Amino acid sequence: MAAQPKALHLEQGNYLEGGGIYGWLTTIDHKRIAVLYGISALVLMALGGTEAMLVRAQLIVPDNHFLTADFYNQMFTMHGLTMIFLVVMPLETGFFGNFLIPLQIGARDVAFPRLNALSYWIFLLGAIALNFGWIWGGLPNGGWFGYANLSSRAYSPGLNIDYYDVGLLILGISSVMSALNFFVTIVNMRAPGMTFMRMPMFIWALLVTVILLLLAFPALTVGLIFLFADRYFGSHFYEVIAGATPILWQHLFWIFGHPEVYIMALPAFGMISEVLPVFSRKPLFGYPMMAYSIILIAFLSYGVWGHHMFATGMGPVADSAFAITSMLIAIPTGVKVFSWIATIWGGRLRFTTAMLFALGFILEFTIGGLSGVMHASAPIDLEQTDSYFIIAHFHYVLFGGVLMAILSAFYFYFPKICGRFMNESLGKWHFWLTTIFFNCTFFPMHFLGEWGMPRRIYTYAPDMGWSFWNGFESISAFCLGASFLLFFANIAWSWFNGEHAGADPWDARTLEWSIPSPPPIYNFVKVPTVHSRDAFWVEKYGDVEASGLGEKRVNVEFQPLASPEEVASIHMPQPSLYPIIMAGGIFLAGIGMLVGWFRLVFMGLGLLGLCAIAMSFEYREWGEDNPHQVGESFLSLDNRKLGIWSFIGSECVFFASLISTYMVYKSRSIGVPDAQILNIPLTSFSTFILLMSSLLMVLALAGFQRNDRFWGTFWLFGTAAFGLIFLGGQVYEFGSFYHEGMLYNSNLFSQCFYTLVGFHGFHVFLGVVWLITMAIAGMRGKIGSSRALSVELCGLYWHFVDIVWVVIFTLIYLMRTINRA
Amino acid sequence: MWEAEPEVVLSIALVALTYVAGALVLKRRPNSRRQIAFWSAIVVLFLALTGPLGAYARGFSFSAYIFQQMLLVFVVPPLMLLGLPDWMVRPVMMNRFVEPVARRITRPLFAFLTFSMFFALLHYPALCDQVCHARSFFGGIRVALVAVGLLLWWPMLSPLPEYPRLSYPMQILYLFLLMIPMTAVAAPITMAETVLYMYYAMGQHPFGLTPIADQVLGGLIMWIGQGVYIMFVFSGIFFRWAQREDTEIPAINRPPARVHVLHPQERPVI
Repeated sequence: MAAQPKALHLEQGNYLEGGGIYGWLTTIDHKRIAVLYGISALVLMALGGTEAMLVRAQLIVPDNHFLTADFYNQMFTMHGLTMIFLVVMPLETGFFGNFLIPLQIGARDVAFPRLNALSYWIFLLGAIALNFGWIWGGLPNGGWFGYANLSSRAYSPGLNIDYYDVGLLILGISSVMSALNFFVTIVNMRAPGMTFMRMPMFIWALLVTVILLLLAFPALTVGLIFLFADRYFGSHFYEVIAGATPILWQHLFWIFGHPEVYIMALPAFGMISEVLPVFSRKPLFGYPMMAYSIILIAFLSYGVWGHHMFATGMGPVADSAFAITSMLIAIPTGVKVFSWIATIWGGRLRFTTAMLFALGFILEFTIGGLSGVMHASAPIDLEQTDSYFIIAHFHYVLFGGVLMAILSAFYFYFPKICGRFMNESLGKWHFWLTTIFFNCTFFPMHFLGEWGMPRRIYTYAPDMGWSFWNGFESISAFCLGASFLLFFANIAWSWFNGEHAGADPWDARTLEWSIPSPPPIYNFVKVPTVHSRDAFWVEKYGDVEASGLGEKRVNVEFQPLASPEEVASIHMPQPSLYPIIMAGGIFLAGIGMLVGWFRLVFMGLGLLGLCAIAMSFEYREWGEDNPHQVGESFLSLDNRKLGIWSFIGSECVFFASLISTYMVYKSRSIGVPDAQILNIPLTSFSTFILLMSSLLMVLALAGFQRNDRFWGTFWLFGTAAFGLIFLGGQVYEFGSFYHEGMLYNSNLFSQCFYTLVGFHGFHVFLGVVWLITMAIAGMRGKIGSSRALSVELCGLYWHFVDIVWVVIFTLIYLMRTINRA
Repeated sequence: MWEAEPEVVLSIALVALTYVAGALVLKRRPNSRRQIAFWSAIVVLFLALTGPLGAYARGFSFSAYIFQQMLLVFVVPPLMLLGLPDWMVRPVMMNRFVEPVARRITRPLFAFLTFSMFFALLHYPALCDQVCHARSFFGGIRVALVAVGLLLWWPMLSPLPEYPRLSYPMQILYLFLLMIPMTAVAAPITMAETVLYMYYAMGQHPFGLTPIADQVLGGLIMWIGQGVYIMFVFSGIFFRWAQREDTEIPAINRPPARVHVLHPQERPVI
């Protein structure tokens, strides 16, 4: 164990030191951002825990009036939202993901460092937006799934649901951004030799998680946009009276919601798969099966959202199908549980706090999984749904499972993060108290559920027979809460006083342990070459299977700290103030939406756009800011290009949701206007113009690629002009519809049409702004053949927008001419 | 009694004959694995287009129609591509007139988009009612299904080294993304509360289902049935990938020679 003298860190840039507050505000170092995520999430965890305590305090005795019914609703809603969106997700992807991805794959930073900072600031402001109600009253109160039409203006006139709506929209932007960033990082920036099949399991888990995030969040975004339109523009996306169905919200929510469950669970699986091998001194059992089951779970998670909706009456055929797919998920999950058990089987176990939590995870998660299989069966689910049985189930999965894994990883990685151990004896107290009181709190809920106690009731009568167990649970819950005080105290104490840890305090297996703790800002002086799975273990002991009980190889390569000359040669991205300003823009837009003052929305978005343009005029490209892009890139795509592609993938889901809604609602729309109002000759012309603009885009790119600046710029302006003509056509079209009396909220057809076509138009508008920016840069001679890639990225986006238009034009305009038989 | 329309039987026979003729003209014999794959494709084609499934799909049942589509898009084309030896495809695909076009249309993005668009359009209710069941379009739609199926599978199963297949991880991603158009088409059909396809509203449905239940079943075959099938396909791809990555990686990346470990002794436990 090579302990590093502390002085050396300070001289050579320990990431935790230096820069003061300004340094933290402008940081784009992935480790600092991770710490910011971690601190925010822990504060919010205390908040969410307090909310849970208030919920339990209300339920401690029957007929209690400690809280008002409305405040109780706000508390359980905020508890769910906080724990899911503001604690578990930011801790897993934001904190551990940010910290570990570059370290475990042997990179110096993530692919887009400034985007990373932007994600964090947006997350923080989104969390604040969601919690506005603490200041102005009226926290979200519709449950974390905010079912329509409880969320309509008629039933919820206050701002409660608006905080929910706007808060989640903002958090969604942040999640998609960091997902995109991590996807590109993992795919493109692995150290040489680190093939997919050599990645640590945590990286596998996060890779699949971010794909889920990219493809799941847009569905929620669409649902939230509809909700916003219903509440502010008087449309009827979820109102039966206009022919719509509130079930649409459930579909959109659960398309997102079920993958979301795995977005929370998969990283936990990954963390456990890191901790168990280290403390068992054995490699992870069945590595390919483990990676495979992660992919399989992700794949299946898109085909099971129906199981959240058995109670909506989908009919026996659909219920059976969703029951079967839901039960199928138990297979890969079971594979994982058995692999973990096989990993520790016959190993030389060390029962550190991290290991205890990991073992606790296996047990509690299995219990939660088993009750999950129970209500995968539709008839049983009809009995159990909306009862405390469900609460017991998902707390076993999310608290006993996911949170235990997070705590395990916390104790495990704390030495790497700040160079000090967490206190083990406090940690063990924390583990035992948490485990005991967790089970005391949540296990009886299974019985309460079976005895008929419904979820979300704020009090109950004394003669229901629920009083004893509720009292018992509440007292256990307070003890559980108290055990977390121990955890927070442990962090605070250990941060300053913990025992010093060396680079590799646990005798661990993966690359992050080969560098000093805390890591220097550049992570690796020399980018490592990877020769096998568990790369660092092999470096130390010569073989993956080695028990680690023999003597280490003499020449174990701990990465040394860099000499001043080496530091000078390492190019790291510069801190930037843009991310926090841009996040501020989004926040302003959010406030504008909340108070219904739409000028503020445009100001916020304008600020965002101006920052983006200003950044592009720095003529320092994101790519140049990259620490490095060497290594195992099987796609040989530039980071930025891969980024645009994954953005496009995410956008596909966004438009697919909008188009599907249009298709479903068109036939349910009541009265005029209907699709016959569409002006096909005019739109055919603008479609033609848009397609031609794609052609001009190709010419522009070809121009820049052969370094012909004049024609490149010329065609770029041409593309932008054609885009503007298209937009003009759209404005004219909307205007004439308006004069014919087709308002946004006339009926289902008009609102679906305006939303879909309007959002496409907005994309065209962004494209035009991008094109003009690019063209001006071209005019000023800033784009040569070496920077043609920037034009190509813009082109990819532009072609995508065109293809979406072709789909819209075909399905919405052309198809209206076909009448039914 | 097994019903079969003569033109359907003739077309299938023509496909089979082309294969045999190709082998005879080039004077080579495909190996038995390929032959099994190809003849299974022919058998599946026959089962899908004739007999009870063919009759139900033609006349009464949406779910039978969808099941037939799934066979034509997700079973027949991959079997056919697996059944074609490179030397039989090369003269066609490397023909100087065919090649420039073929290269462009077999690019993964183009193939994916073409398939998705075609598939989405095909299930547009009004279009389906009017076009898919008009006598003159009937055969054409099924031929087109196999054709876009071949296009869809080509990037993963191309028999020619001149047209390289996608790398394994990209194959998995390709299949994963296929979920977006399939779900976007199938979910609204499954969740619809009324009969969307008037053509199938009347008449007799298999297993005594009501028209709406038949439609739900169709949607589920397209969504969940297809999904589970794809799951098996990518499982195969994944394990082949996991197995090969160890053997096919460049020499620089192989593990270093094993080091002899001296002086085994208990290390201190933390």
